[in-house]
Amino acid sequence: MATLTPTLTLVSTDATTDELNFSVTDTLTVKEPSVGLSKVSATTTGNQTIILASHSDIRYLFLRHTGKNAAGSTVTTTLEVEIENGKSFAELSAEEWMFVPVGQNGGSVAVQLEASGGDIIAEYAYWTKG
Amino acid sequence: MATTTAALTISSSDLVGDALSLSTSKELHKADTTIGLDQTSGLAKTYLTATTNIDLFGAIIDTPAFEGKSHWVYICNKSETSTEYATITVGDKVIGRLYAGDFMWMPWDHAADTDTGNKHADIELAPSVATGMWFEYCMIHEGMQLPTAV
Repeated sequence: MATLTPTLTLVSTDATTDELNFSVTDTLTVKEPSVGLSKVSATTTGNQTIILASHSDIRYLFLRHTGKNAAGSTVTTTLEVEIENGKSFAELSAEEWMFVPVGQNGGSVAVQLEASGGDIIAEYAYWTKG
Repeated sequence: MATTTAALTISSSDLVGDALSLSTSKELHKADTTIGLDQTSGLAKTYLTATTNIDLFGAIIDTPAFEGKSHWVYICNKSETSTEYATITVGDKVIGRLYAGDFMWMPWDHAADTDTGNKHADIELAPSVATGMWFEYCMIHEGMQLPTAV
């Protein structure tokens, strides 16, 4: 077991009259398997880029659209995040990221990535709830 | 134009031999622009006393004007009982569980999936116990459908 400490901060000085500025920190106990920050090239075929295989644990997933393709060129295409083949639940534009717990005890969930065009380099990491 | 920035750090000193220290941030923009998001639900807090699956953020129903717009969602389980969790579902897809103290931050994608059955992408939350659980949530966005008055 190990301890993982994620902190999310949302800040805006002008979105509302009252300044938005809050931060939340969690202390997660995590176990194997974990996958450190990794890179994949997502294509327009989702099941070619499965980043989280079917499992029955909770896995804390960090995922980021790097804004680049495999050739290193800037891309503006979007990255679909899919639970099961073809079922998108989120879409990331260039340089956007997300942090979610994925999985259901007793269930079977996999996450795969699909580029809306060409290819997209995505960064991801995940840790398993202990 | 409003400027809102979301930042995440993830650290661990004992996960692997090399200490983990991940940090990223991003200004939140309207879809396909560099214009900042200018609408928000505000930071909300609610106490749920049933295990009923509820819509935390309702679905867009046949309102194409709101499709493809940028929405970001924060949800946190404020329970202090480690075994208490909330099951999070987007549309008909169970995403995962938020245990006590856990939070999530993700884009809310109303209708990017062209599968007809996935259009109603409400974000649902189901507490694991009916003895009362606190939740905190917020959406920052560029427009959403509000229910018509009856």
